[in-house]
Amino acid sequence: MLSVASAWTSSTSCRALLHERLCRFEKQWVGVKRSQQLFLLIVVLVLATVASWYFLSHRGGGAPSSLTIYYTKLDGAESAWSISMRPQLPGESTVEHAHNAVLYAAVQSVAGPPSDVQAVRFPPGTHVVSANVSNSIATVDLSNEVTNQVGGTFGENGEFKSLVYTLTGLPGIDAVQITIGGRKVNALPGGHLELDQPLRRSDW
Amino acid sequence: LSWISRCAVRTGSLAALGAAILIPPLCAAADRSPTVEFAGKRLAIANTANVGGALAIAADDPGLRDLLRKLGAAMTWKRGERYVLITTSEPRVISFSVGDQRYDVGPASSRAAFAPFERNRTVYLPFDDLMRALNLQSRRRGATIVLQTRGSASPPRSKPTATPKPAPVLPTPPPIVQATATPANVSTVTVTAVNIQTDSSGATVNVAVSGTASFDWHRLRDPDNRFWIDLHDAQLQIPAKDETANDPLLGIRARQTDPQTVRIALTLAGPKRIDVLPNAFGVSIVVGNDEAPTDAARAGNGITGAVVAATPAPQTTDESWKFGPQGYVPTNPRLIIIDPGHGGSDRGASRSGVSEAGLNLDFSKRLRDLLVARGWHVQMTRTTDVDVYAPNDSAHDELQARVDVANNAGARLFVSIHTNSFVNSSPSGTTTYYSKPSDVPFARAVQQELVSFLGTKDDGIVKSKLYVTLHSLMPAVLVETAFLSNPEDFGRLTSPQWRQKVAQAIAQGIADFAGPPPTADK
Repeated sequence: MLSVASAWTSSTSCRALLHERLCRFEKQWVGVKRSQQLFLLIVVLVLATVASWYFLSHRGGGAPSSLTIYYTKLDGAESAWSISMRPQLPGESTVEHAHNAVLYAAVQSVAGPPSDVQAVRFPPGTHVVSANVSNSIATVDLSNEVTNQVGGTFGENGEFKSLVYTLTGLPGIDAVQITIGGRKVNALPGGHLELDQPLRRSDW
Repeated sequence: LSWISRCAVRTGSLAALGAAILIPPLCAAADRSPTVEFAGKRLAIANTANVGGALAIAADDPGLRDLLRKLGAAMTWKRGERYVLITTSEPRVISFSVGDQRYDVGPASSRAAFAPFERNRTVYLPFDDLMRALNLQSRRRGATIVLQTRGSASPPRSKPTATPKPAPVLPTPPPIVQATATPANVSTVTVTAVNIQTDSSGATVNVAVSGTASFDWHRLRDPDNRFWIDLHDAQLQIPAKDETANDPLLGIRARQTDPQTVRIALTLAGPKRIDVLPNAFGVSIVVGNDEAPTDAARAGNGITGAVVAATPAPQTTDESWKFGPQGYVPTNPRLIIIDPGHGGSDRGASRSGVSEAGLNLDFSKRLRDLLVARGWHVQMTRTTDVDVYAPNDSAHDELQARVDVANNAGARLFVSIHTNSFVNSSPSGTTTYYSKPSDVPFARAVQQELVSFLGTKDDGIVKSKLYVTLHSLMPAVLVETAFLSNPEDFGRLTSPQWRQKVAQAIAQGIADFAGPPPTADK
């Protein structure tokens, strides 16, 4: 500190000093100090920008890093597995990322666990056509194959229960509205469940 | 010369053939999409792009859609969306995303040749990676790409859904691993994949295990931050692994420590929080960025493939209750509504010519006779094999018509009788379904009598959002007597004596819940 302070006074004091070489060294040292300070300032600014961008883009929950996908076992109980969610990508807004989590979870849930796991499954070929979120209600449009039920409450109940459990397990999703082929239905043909209102976990 | 002749066939003229021979680049420029064949047929691949020598295909390409249909797979994607998800017939979910080289097939992640990109409002996917994810092998025959199901030497069948998988051979990178190897071919449990996914919250190590293996895990005290998990009676099917890893991990090793044990060891960047979560695919080790509490467990054990503990049934919340006030007062307290499920154009479940509609009507008539003998008035929603609302009506009209019968009559109770069914013979037993809080004691009484009378498996009372029990104002139940799809249950259902016992049990359940019928109409 002392040497820095003396260098600031003026170059004349340098000449007064006998150790000219030392004085020159001090001047250089000040230059180094200045560029270091400038560099540090830039680093701090960059870090602050990155941090605030990160904070702004990640606030409001967004999507979890792993998704819990439920399925109904053959004894009627719910079970689950977890699948890792892709991180939010550059250019992907938080809202879009949350939507993608719902979409991914819905597709996984309707596909069901691996084929060697005994589970209640949607009729073969049933898949998610689209999924959207509005006011904490996820609307899942299923393909027409979902109407190929074998009859009986057991399967129909288990299929929709696991899908609703999966989606209502995501942040901000309270209920699931089912549509089939883009249309709202009151019930499946020959079915038992009421589908014209959003389904909630509390329905089970 | 095969591509030239194909080009000529497409344009349909000899002149074109001549021109093509003379100026081949013109023909190539006219249709730059390669010829792709599957199962001996040419796919109408039209919308492709070239990415540094690698082929990219549009998500909405008609040829790709045709291929998916032939494979029994379906795509979930619409214009403007970043995620392209494909459900295969196995079923497995393939996941691509614009701007991300990572793609997932079931629980396994891989790295594609290039990240999917958006152009002209469609998403272009890396063709070779997509084919690998679909379990297809692509090989070149001249300028033609021939696709065939991986592992099958002969041309694939149109629907390779039931193709038995040989013991999975690990392809060269990027590795796609069969997370769900068919256990029939494998004598012991195999570890088919170990991969790491890192994100802002930490890292997840997914260990894919075919079959069920017991495991135990240990972690050492800080500062020696190591963790390992031993899978017993298991074989490591992938090459042994010894890699460095990103924060919060420093490294990962996977190896066969002895002929029966596979060990996966992690070196941690600190005393990180660790959760060991067995799941349907095997086991996941979730390492958080935050530190574990000092009293965190340092050892544990479990079973892979055994999934996480069944979630306890959520508590009924009061706001879910919106139909039928608790204080329902029947205007007709001596009247019980019996609803034989299905009927007419809706046959319900069926097996060997025995239909649910017919069985339900038989149960209902027997119950009616018993209740009438006990002094109740009974109204049935149908007394013959008909639709209650109208033939070929919508399910809503049909179900509402049944509810209307009960609500308009101001009945005391509502009993819907059904016969269960499933796609395989495994599930069996008797269940009483309900929806409203006021149904619960009624459902309990009926179920108790049913299981003590019948000898079927007790599947308990089950809450569900069933149309008829939800919308009927009075206490209501839907009885699923037994499973048509289960051989033992089917034997019972086809016995008139057994059906009489069902009717007696329900009548007794009604008596337990409601007591004797009122002596006179009020």
